[in-house]
Amino acid sequence: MSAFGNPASRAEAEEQVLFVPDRDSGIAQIVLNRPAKRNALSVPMRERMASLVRACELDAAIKVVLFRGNGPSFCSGNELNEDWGQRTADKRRFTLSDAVRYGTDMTYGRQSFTQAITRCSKITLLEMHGYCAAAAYFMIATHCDLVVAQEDAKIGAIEGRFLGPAGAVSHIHLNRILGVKAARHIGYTAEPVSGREMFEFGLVHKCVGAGADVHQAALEVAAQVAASPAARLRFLKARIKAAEGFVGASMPAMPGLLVSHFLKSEPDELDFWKAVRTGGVGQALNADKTRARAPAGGGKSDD
Amino acid sequence: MIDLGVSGQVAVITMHDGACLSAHSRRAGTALRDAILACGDRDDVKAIVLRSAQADFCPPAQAIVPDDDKLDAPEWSQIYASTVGIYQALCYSKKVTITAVQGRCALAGSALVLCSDLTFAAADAEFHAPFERLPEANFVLAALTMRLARAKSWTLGGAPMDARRALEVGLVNRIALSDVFAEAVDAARSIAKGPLDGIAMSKLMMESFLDSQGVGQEFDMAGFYAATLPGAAAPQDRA
Amino acid sequence: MSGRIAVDRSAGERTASIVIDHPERENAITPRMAAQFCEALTALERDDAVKVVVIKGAGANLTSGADLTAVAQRFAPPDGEAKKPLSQRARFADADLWWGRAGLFGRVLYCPKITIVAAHGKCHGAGLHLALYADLAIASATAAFAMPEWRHAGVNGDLSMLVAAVGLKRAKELVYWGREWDAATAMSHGLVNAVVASDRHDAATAELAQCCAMIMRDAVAAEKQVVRAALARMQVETGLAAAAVVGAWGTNIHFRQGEFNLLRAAKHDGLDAAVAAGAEHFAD
Repeated sequence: MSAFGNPASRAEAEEQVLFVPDRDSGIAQIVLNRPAKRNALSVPMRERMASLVRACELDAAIKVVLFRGNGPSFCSGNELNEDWGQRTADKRRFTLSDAVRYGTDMTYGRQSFTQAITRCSKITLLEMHGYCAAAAYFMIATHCDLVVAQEDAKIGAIEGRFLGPAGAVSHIHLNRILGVKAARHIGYTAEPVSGREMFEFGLVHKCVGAGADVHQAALEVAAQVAASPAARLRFLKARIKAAEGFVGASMPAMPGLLVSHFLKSEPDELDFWKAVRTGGVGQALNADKTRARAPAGGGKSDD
Repeated sequence: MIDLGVSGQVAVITMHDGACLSAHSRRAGTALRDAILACGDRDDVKAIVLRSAQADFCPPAQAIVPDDDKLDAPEWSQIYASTVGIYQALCYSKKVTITAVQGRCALAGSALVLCSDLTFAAADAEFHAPFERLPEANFVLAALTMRLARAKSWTLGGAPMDARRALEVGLVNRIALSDVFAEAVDAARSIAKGPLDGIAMSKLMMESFLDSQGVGQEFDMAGFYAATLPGAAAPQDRA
Repeated sequence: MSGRIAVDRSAGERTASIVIDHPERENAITPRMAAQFCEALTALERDDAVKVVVIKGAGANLTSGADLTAVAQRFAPPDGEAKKPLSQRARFADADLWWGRAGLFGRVLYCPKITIVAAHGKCHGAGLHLALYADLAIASATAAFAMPEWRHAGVNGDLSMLVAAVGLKRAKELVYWGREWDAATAMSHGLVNAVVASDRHDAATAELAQCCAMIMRDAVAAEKQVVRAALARMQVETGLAAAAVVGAWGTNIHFRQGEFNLLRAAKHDGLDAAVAAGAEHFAD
């Protein structure tokens, strides 16, 4: 796999994804550090995440890999409209070959960060606050073994408002984690749900109050897991991976993002990529905000 | 070690020492397995209630079993892990099976709860994940019962679930108001009002469903899991 | 036989409603209505403007399930003996109507539009399965979900989607124990997405449909294709096939002394009296 990105984004990635391994505690932290963009993941950031996970894999002293984000959010998803090397002088448009590279190596393929996380033999833990949207939801959160969330975190396939569900309904992990109805609701309404609701659906292992220190809570869970002998954790992880295979959740969904660049909007729908070309990502996102909202009840339990 | 009684088309199996099942006792395992298999073949039985005579359905610690009661690997497979072992006999029984749980429920107890159709819990019931030390416990059943991430959370998080939480996640069907065994028997009698043929057909559908979902494959892995069970998981090595 | 399927296009061109309209029998679905339902779906699927299909019931209920009048007449006609043995086609007719490739549930499950069930009142039998197989279900506080026929003759439906929605032990409450779930229970079990007060139900359903209608058609169509693969991997096709086979075996059930045979009772005393006697037999 070649290194995608442009010289600037590649140079920045090392600072945008920090690595804090602690061999004494057995906990390695992978920290998203691009707070100005709500930790949106550039392609080089994703490649760095994958290589850090693989590094943890080789380090016998590491038992737990903890993902978290600096700033107001864990992660808003993959960066949109990024120049990762596809924009060359000799071609005028995004090609199918570009989309294949993007949909495989940079998102869902066997060498992608998604699969590096889902395949990791260590216990993976996610600390979630603020937005956990789009790729952060169905490429990271659903593949981590344990999620610790702030109750007011906003989670979901909210990019589906302009790019479609892109795998958020068909992803078998999501169906097995949330139940088929909640997975469909999130995928077909593109509405965010809270950390509390995700606890009720079953994604979240531990939910802390809006004002509580979610990092402290995540570290406590990590420390409790890391107190177990490595052989025991490996045995349990092997059992979990086998069972995930048996229930059909061993691999990510088909590369849904592959098609998102080629979806055709109808006259009554927002043409997101055209809006991006004319006004930039920010304006395109704002144009989308005029849409109707789902009624309350996206997952509130009655108790 | 096991009492078996049948009345009004409901069989009641009473265990006297669940901890021996966790320790893979030959006598306790054989007795429970034979009782479950025997009920499955009786036309005068439509539902089975499985309970413990003790304050704990099955405590977290394994019992000490005498040397002459310990199993070698082939016997363990035969009595505990094979298609005619305890757990598969319960999971694929031709009768509707109900576990009535009070007190602590761990290891063999939790594995039995996962294999039974319905579970009634006393308010003091407490469910421990069995997978770390019991290779024959079925994780796929846990994932299908409480959803995948919750099954992981239960297994890796370390803490047992109280009855209320077990009800919320779907591991338990009802929390008993007073007498968990009596309420489980009431449910069994209610179920037994259905036609025997209908119950048999439903159980057949369930068997086909479970195997389409990988439950059988997971049972088949038990011997391989046992072979890789780390020594650190033995009781004397636990932190 | 009365009862019909109506199509309501009054909500604008993006959202269409399929209305189960048989209120004098709590919207029981006759074989003819099931066929009409599929025809309505075909027409709406071919309409490019439609993005969301809402499924609802006229009157006080979504539906009490498959119309037993039709079942009773087929197996135990009041004016004489049923033809024995039933022809091979007759044994599988019911199965095909609901569980077959072109059956009602398969059509809803694989519908290329976003489907929403508005569940209120009785959502029994087919009503529960419509809520399950549609993409989304929004319940009124009056909704009640149950599979009463499974107590009479054993489970004859797909279990893969049911368990993937509510979990194994809860599904078994329906399969073996004939429990009924109120709206709040169905919500906490994961069978429906939201519960709203009954006077808000229509408006909330319309809002939800409008929200879903904002997602690009092309994106939904693409996702639905991938969902087909996901359903296959979750073994839903196995469940539908098993339901069809076992549904046909229902004609072979032998009732022992003390067991309640609904169709025999219906032949003697009429369907309504038989249903009432069945409720009494199974009352706790």
